[in-house]
Amino acid sequence: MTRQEAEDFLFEEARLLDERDFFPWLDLFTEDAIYWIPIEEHSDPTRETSILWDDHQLRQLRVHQLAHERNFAQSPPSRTVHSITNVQVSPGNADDEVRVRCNLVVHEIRSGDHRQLGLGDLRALPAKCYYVLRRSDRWRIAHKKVVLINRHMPIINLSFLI
Amino acid sequence: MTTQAKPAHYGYADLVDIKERSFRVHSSLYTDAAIFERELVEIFEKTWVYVGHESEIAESGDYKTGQIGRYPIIVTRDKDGEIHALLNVCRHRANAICRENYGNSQNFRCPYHAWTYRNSGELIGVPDGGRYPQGFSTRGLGLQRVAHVGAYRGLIFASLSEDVPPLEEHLSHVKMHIDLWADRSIGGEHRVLRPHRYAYLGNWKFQCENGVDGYHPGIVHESAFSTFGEFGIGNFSARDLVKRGHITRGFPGGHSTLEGGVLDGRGVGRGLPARFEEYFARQKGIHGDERAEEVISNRHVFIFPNVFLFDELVRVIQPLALEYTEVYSHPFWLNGVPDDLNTRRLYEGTRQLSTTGMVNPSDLEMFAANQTGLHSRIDWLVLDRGMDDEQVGADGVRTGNYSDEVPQRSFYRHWVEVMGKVGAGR
Repeated sequence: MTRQEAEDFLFEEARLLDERDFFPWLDLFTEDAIYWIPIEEHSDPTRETSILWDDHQLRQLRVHQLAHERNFAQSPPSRTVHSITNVQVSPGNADDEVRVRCNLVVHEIRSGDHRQLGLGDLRALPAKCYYVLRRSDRWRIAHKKVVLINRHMPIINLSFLI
Repeated sequence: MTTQAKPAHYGYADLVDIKERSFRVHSSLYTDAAIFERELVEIFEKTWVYVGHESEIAESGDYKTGQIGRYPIIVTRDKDGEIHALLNVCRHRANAICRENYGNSQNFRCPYHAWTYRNSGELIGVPDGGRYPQGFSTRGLGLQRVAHVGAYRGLIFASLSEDVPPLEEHLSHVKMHIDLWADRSIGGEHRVLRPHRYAYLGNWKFQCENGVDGYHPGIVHESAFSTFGEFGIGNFSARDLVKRGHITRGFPGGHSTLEGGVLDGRGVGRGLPARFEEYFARQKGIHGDERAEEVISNRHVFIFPNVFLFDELVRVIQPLALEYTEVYSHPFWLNGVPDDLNTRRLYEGTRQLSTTGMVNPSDLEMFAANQTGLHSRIDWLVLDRGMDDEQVGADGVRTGNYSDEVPQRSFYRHWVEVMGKVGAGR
């Protein structure tokens, strides 16, 4: 996979998230993929606390909840812009896999009646991202790890997708 | 920030209006900056406050920093294994001697002028000490001690005030519920992990009230529970729990419980039924059938003023400003219980109650929305639910059904007892 191909893939994921097109986003992952937001970057997620640890079913649950009309943490909903830079591609552990590392900044705001507490704040969430992409009929995400720089801080309401 | 002040002619005791069939709290409890300051002094600096779990500082030299009210503290384990709660404040110029949240060190060296303290508090080094006047002594200049530190079933509490009852007397009726919670592990010991950390724009008491509020879950968390239901992984309806006879309890001292009964292995083995049955059989062997069932029952335990014990998490509430509260929610390992069950509990806690959780962020949204509404200076908030048939035992323990506001009333009965003492408002 060339860097340009990797960028095309990541930009498409960002587009789906920013346009709130969540069901096609689910299809970007392989069935066995894990989507992980750790607190300790090199920890064992089966034994230590993570901000998020989603397998196939959890990703589905999350997207179904996002589509629910009475999801109050997302009412009004988050608007996001995912910006991706510093993309680097390296060989994976298998012939059909590559590793992709990039930097990500998610800008997020919930507007609604923006004068109310908890609404109207424009937030920036910078992160280092590590993907394993695997090729079958097309490239898919076999592993996604998002390392937020503020991961040790209290964070308010991450009920949207990063 | 709009703040509503306590009406000048009110004492603190007047802010909770208790009648036979009504229980109202004045909205200034959540909006008056002077009341918030008073709470830090009268509640957080004068009573037992949860400061950590023994397993967080398991090894000699381990430490954890934190805050009691506004006091920065450090909780340490010295070379003899003894636990100390000390102010994280150098005696020279009040500099913080430790800037990390967790770590391991036998000594703390102040970064400003290198006064150095043992992790048990003694001052053991002052650079260029000869420049101090004759008679200057490092004795008596150790780190200030939090007046009391004590532990119950691994939970460490500390009090800045000398004048408190013994810890077990403070815990009183809630002790048996801590015991049930602790006995979930085989052998009664837990290992508490690093916390989920999150915050909300609202008063600290909203979180205290909400964790034992059985009225809101089916409403606030409808989107989560209906999604879980759709995927066949356990539904939840407060109405069902009321029908099944599940309860709330409120204790003297402001403690309380919300008890949801045996919920398909929730908290121990949801999704791993065979493994759960093995575990349950083991628990029956240790405790007998009846107590084993109580041990595995869903239970939220609130210990006044700042900690909840949940099935998967220990949730710690840290008030930082009138309208800003942080919460540290620690997953914990049940020692002696197979790793796959514990990993499942870890995932369950993350899925529901982390800052990305499907449940918790909606609660925090409610708190910010409550706080927004309180800027309107409405007067009284309603906590009457279930008063008609609240049972009061001879020991002062109150019981109601799952969706009653028994815990919240107990919280404010105690609040007014503590704050009312100083009620020089009139």
